[in-house]
Amino acid sequence: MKADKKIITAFVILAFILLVLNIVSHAAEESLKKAMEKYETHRYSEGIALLRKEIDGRQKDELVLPYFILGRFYLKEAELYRTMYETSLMTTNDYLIKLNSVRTGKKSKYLPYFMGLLYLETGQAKKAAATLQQFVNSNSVDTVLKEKARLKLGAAYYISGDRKKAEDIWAQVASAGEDVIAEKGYVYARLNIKLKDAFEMAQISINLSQKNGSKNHFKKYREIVFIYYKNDMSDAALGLMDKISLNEPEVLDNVEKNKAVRFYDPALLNDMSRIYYYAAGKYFNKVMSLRGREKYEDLIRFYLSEVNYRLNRYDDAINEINGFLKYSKLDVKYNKKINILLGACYYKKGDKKQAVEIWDDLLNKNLEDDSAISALMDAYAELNVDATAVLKRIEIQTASKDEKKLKPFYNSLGMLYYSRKDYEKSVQALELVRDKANKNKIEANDPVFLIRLANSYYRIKKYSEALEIFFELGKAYPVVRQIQDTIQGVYSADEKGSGDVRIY
Amino acid sequence: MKKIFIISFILFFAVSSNTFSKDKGDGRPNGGALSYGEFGRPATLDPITSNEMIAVRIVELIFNGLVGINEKQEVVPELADKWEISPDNRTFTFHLRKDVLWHKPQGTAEDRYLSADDVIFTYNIMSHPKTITPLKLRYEFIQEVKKVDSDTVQFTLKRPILNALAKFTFKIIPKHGPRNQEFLTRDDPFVQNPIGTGPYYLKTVTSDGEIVLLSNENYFKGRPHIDKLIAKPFADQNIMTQALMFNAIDMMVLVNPRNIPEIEGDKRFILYPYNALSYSFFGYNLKNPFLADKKVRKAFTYAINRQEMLESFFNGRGTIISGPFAPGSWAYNLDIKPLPYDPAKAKELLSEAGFKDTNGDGIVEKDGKPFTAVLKVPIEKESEAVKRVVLAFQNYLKNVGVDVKVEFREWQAWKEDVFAENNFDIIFASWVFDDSADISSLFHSGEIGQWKNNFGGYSNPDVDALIAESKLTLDFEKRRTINQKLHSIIADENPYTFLWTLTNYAGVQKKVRKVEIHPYKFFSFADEWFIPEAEQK
Repeated sequence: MKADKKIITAFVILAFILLVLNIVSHAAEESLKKAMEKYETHRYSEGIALLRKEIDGRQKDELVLPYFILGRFYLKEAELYRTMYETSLMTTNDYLIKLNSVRTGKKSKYLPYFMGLLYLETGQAKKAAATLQQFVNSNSVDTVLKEKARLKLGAAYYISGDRKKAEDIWAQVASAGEDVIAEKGYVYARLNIKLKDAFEMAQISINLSQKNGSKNHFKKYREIVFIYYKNDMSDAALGLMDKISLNEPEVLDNVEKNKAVRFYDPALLNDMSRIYYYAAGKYFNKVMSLRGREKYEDLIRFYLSEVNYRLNRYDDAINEINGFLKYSKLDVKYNKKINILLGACYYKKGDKKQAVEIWDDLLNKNLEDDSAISALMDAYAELNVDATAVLKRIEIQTASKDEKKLKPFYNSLGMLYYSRKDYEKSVQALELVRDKANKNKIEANDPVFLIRLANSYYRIKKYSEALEIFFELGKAYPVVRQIQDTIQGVYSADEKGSGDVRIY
Repeated sequence: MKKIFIISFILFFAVSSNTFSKDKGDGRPNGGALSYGEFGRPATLDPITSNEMIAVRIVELIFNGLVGINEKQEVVPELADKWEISPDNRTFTFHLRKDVLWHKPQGTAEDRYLSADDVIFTYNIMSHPKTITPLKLRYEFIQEVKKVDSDTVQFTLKRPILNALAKFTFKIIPKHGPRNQEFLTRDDPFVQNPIGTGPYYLKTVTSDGEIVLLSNENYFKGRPHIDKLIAKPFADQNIMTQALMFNAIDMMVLVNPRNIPEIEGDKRFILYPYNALSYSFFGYNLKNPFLADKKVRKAFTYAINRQEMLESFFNGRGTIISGPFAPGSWAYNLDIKPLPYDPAKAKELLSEAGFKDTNGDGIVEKDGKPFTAVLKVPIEKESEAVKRVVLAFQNYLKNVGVDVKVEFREWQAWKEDVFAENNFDIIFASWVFDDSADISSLFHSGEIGQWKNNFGGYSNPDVDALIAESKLTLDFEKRRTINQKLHSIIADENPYTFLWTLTNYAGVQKKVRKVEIHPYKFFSFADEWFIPEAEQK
């Protein structure tokens, strides 16, 4: 009897454990399922938050799938921020030019500083130096920003090739405050120099702020995360990501009564994009170090090649691609897409001939493969490559008036037209992709697509259409505030209304 | 001999007609007709007295301004083919085209050309104290206008203003048009029988209220391609949608958001987005002592679940707004978020304002008077959805102890109640703005009065001062800051409960090509639209 009771007890305990395991397993799957719903509805940052919480509670051998999904999320987030960055450069440029052209009323004293930052971002180092010097010479600006400007001025000279002048300027930076120290480390990291010094400066800055009990400026976190990323300290970088506030201006200047101007650092979205690509790479590589990774390896190579490409590591990308082409057992459509990326790598390395050979070969062998042609068009659009041959093919489709045949191309066609500055045609093509019933909802429309559509509308000066898109996007991605502010500014300068209003 | 003479005469006439008919020369075919649905009938068809969107669209087809705005937001010549602006930006001299003919009323043979006299006449009649028009406030910045010669007009401004040239898009009417040569009222036959210079002229208004416009063969930009445009009035948007689906009309200027998927899925139509900067609202009459209290108005905003209404009645196809601008406007203050749905807060505010349900009948009172309000609603437009919205509003307010009685009124009668007599407590309506985002006529205290837009009687000296400053500044960024402050104040004061901006699409038959829609005026580029010959009715 006693023995029977023991057996029954053991059985009950075992059953309970199995039940709990099943519940936990089921619950874990539920979490992943919820995360995937976020993926499908393009709410990447929410999905990331869900997954990171999920990962904390998991054993090592349960991390393969969550890491893989997290890598996919970061990849999407990176692409989104990259697209936002391109938009922001365009709208910020136009906005600052308009601000600078005002002939009546006061101009913001911070205008030269932010114009300088914009010039740095767009590779115009000499112009950057001139405007930043103007800012450094002015008397009426706060010291911290002036010292930061001095650091950026040094960066401008460094990029122009005058490294001695850069070092001399950096040596003049007076402040030892926590914000300026962090900025200095950030400038080094951005230039990819003295990375160890940059890391030390990040640590000094953090220690100082703890000692002073000061509230860390959101911008400083972003700079420190960037320093960690450049020093390949993924856990430290990812740990601080949540503290970065993305929708606040760097400066809110009350220029005069009833005139306030918001300025944003144009580098912010670029930094975030690169950090997200880095994070994606980190999580994919984490999968590669785990047991149970086998069924994800091919896909991970595929995604890692893109990560490396986006982080300008073209040789690493090419190696990854070659590994993929050699070993992959995935559907041939992946091979085609990765070959397009291979061409892009060569193009970026300067070997345009090789790139064009790869693409032409692909085009000739895949004339009936709409997906491959679309992907090729995307590459042409992004790299501003002559797409005449591809467009001729599309025109044949147009002539046949077979709309069904055209549909797969609309998105890519829109981007190609955009790259050729044919913005009206870009809008027409992209509008055919848009889910009109859910006009600007990211649940129904890829946010990257929406931003591209907004860019096309912006270019044809239909600013209100662009603002509507960003208004919706802003609900999930507050960081677009810097784009909204600049478009509003440009729109208010350009508008040609006569003051009409009607009731209906 | 007689036969030869007649044939020669006919041939001569045919040739002459073709000689005088100005073709666009763009290779696109002329011909065909386009009918479209409208929400009711406009009270007037002239550009001076009309104050509704239906009229704006018709006026855009019949009249021209001194300048126009093209698709690229550029100011382009229109009735004036060139101009000079003085260095101090206060004097604008317009040289008129010499080839602009006025439409000929039926039975008239005489050709009349546009002249400086017409421009001066238009300005004078617009400015006359007895002319009831929303244009007076908009053009207060003009000091004087003078005739330089028969084809040259000079405007002097009181002060330089931002984007001044774009303001000269106001429509010019003929001196020989109105019966009264001094001021224009709704009794003048001209307002029902307009004469313009535009691509279309008014042929007739049928007994059903259909407005029939025919192409102006002598249009100075070249005759429009489509021969005939017909605006058909509908009292019910559902019936209008059915008319589109059954090919009784070719176009809807505004598709009900609920019908977007149906029309999008139908290969016969194309949906054209256009961002009319519009929003819907409940407006309050501040002459009602209960509604004069800001706490009460704010309570109303807290009391209603706008998101639920948007989801239920428009399938979520729109955006909740927090203030007096549409989200697509450059003036929208992104820092101001819409108040949440909070009926408990609503009750608290009503209580603070002195309202209590002392007799337990579910309706609050103050000073012995129960809180009852009359909500007046125009019955046209999205009548089914509108009904649902106002009934939901009624229900939400009942839950917080306010009794709302809903009255549906025919459009013209509703406007009389609201604008002429201020005979309402609450209204439901929508505003639509052009790019200037000018809310001065809605909220400046100087715009309280008969047929003026500040029908609620809202008055705030800070708002008045900000509006005045926004009109004086030449700094676009300063103007934006001012508008953001206006947004903040008005959102707080709730002279309206701001509701939403809906998703705007026009639904157009595929046969109509080269469709470009102006976000506010709609038909600005309609002279370029065309229908291929094979598809012309």
